[in-house]
Amino acid sequence: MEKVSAKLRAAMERKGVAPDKIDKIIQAISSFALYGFPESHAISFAILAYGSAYLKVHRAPEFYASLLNNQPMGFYTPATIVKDAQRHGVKILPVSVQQSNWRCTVVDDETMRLGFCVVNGLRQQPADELVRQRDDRQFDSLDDFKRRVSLSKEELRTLAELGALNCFADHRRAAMWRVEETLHDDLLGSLTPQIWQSRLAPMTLPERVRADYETMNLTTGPHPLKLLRASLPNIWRAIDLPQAKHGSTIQIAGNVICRQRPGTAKGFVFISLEDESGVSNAIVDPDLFERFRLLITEEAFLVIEGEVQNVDNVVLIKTREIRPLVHAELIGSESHDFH
Amino acid sequence: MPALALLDRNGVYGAQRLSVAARERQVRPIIGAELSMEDGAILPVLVENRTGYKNLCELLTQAHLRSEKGKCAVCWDELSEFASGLVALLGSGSAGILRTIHQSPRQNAGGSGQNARAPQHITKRVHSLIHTFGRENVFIEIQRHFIRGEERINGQLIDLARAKRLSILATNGVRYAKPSGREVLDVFTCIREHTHLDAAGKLLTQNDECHLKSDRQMREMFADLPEAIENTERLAERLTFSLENIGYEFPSYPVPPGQSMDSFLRTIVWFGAQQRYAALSTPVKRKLEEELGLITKLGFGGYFLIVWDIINFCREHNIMVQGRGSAANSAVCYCLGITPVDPVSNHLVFERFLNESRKGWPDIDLDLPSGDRREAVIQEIYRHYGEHGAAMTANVITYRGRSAAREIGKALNFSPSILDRFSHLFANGDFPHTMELETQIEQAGLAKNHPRMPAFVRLYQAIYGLPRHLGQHSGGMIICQDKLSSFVPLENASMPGRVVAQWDKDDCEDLGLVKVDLLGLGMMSVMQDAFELCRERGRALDLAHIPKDDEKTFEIMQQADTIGVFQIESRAQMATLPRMKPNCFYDVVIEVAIIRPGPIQGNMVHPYLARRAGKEPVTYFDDRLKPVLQRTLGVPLFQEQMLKIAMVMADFSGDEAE
Repeated sequence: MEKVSAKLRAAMERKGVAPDKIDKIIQAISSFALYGFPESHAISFAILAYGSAYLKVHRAPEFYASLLNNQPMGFYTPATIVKDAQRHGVKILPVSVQQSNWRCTVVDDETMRLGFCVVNGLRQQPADELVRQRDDRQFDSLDDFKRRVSLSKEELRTLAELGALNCFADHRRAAMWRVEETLHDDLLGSLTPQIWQSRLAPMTLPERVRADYETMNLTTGPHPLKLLRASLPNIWRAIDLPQAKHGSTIQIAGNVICRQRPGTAKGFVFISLEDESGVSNAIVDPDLFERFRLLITEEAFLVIEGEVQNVDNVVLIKTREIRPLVHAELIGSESHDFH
Repeated sequence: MPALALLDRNGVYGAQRLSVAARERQVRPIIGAELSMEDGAILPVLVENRTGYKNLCELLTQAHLRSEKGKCAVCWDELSEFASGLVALLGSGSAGILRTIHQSPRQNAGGSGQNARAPQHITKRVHSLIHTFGRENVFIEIQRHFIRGEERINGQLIDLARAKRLSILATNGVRYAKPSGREVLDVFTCIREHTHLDAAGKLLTQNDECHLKSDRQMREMFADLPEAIENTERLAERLTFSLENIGYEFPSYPVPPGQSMDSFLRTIVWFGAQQRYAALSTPVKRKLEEELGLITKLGFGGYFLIVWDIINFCREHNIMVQGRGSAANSAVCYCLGITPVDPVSNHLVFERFLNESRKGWPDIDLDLPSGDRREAVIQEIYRHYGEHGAAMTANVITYRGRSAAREIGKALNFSPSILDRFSHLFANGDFPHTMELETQIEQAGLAKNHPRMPAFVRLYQAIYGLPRHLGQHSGGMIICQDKLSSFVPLENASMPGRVVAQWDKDDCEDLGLVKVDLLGLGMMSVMQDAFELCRERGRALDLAHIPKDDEKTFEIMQQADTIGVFQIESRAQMATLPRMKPNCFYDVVIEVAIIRPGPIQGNMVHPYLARRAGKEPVTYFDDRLKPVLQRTLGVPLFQEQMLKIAMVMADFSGDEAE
């Protein structure tokens, strides 16, 4: 680099460029040489950035379904993508063995249905077989379903737990019970009553959200923070942050969806928290990070208190206090850390 | 030391790196390999000439491709087909063959007592090696590591050499450069054998004698066998092969009768130009002529045809494809449909892509939808260039913070809970230099005064950055006209249907192998899927027909409502978008480029945004630079602008600037 700078300087001096201009130009080039980005490359990427933004605006269900069908990719987890879609008015129908395909599908201009691909531990081959069987003839009962698909007991349990078998049972817990029953395909089999009344209590809403996260790492139901909102009176929602006064001290809370420690940020750490209204960001200085390293790296939900930095409606919370948000009902999505 | 031979196990993985490093230090590199034989024996071979190198590569390819990744066994019977040009060594370096000598006294215990004669099957093996390689190409290798019982075996080997009229070589079976490398070797042994130092027992080394020894040390050690040293020198002189000329030739592209590759390229470029440009203006014509002239001069015509071929395959199979990087500076690439950007109207600098002083092949990277569609293109290339004609380049995975700490910790028998906690606390991309390693491992639960703490720190420093295993590069493919396996051994990847070369992309580039990068982009797959869903639903759309100035699209960007959008969805991008407020396509180009380590380090982001917001006046280093820097408000953001600055302000030529 030094050799190149010297050559450049000499050439500019020969050409009679003023010394102060030479200094500025050399400084710009040497600070740039290692990390420059070709304009042509930026144009190619901008075509895809613009194109995907256009799809997000004008073909939302097709776009979100395709995003979910190509995971893992990008910066956010499926949980965040689903919540973003819902905030943009896309209705997301849950996984159902009577309706879903392997991939997520588009139902109409405002609606998409989750596919089996979002379910943890479900294999594609039996799921495809299920769809073939269903295309052949609709399943008329859970027994019929169990007889004609080759899913493992574990897969059946998962489907029951996330509500995909609700078409055959009163509710998720009833389906989970019935999945455990052994099929009796003998003469007496037909004596089993077709309609079966479950005496189990249905799952509560928080239980369903929890079950969703446990089986799919996402939920089509309310965000966990929405369930807790009433008990968090002093905590700001992400969507309200642009109204926060620069320099004031506030609290934010949410599911940690991203932790970052960029090489250029001198040891500062960025934490992104997701609540029911969107994503908020906090910055943690190196000393505070080292003091709370375990808490920050291990806890799924955090409450962060700090000073608002609101510049051009970009809000960043300068962290002063940090504590885990502990609640019996909370189970969050996975985060995208230190990538 | 005049020469140094590198014998990797079942490969020539380090050959190119050795060659470069050795040449810098005026040492002559010799290439060889240790072959794992079918019966567990190890047979070291050295390359004498180009035929031998080609044979070694093909033999290794054959042995690797018939077994799963990581396994390789050469059959004794197949050696003769590939023996020409190779030299075989037998002796201290040949585990397995040697083991039988080692056991011989016990087997003969009841017999003639101190029987120094090698057992019969060793003699048989020597006969077959002589038969296969020729007497002048088989050597008996003697090593002295001062290990108990070693001299008795060496005595037998010397007797064997005398009896069979074979020459003796003095070698040292070097495993590490300096004696201190011994503990690293022991840790690697534990990692390989899935054990730890407390349980490894006899797997560990007995001393640190396997380091590089000087000329003088070797002469002293073999003072009683001066012929061994002489023979070694003589053999080193005989082995003249060098990787500098492996005889690789560029794959030729089949062209219609009466055409050369260059004339055919010219034909299709002008044809493409008529489709790309409504009217062929003088600047366009001049640019194309200039580029075609340089491509012909540098002999790269065939390369463009090969890439054009891949593009055609994608078009025919409805696979989105887009050239990335500096290739987009070329009007030829634009006319061939390789890139989507018109460099003429965008005033891009061709020299960034290709210039007179370019030594290697030009770099054209293609972005493809990740997943099945990209795999289809890769498989087409395997099919097109034949079974041994194409391969993915390798990717040497080295020990990094977490992987090094984890595996050293295992070898030192630390508890798994400490290692798990360490991995969680110090995840990838976290910067270990902000904290002492001792403190890090202490936070993970190891006492600071733990007796193994010093060893852990020492080993971590020694192992960090060493190769761990060979992966495949995400998209780099090398291709060859004839048999790629004559130039570099190929092996199976863990992924079915994938063949990988033993060199990484830099090694391949250094040796002039033609490389095409086929990179998978998740977003291209998303977009293509979404376009297909739109078509199925009767509201068809494709990338080329998306309206260019859609207000709502810019609106979500201005509000940083970009979760799921390519590139501008990250936290850092979202923090810039409301300041940047993109309202035309070129703003998106700047937005993509601005959140990068470069502009951030160069303190360039803020001046640009401040100028954009009108908080700072737009000024130029010099009025002559106004045309170059106008579109970025006087702040240089792109490599192309740097080149232009040097060209305008210092009269540099295009390739000087590059």
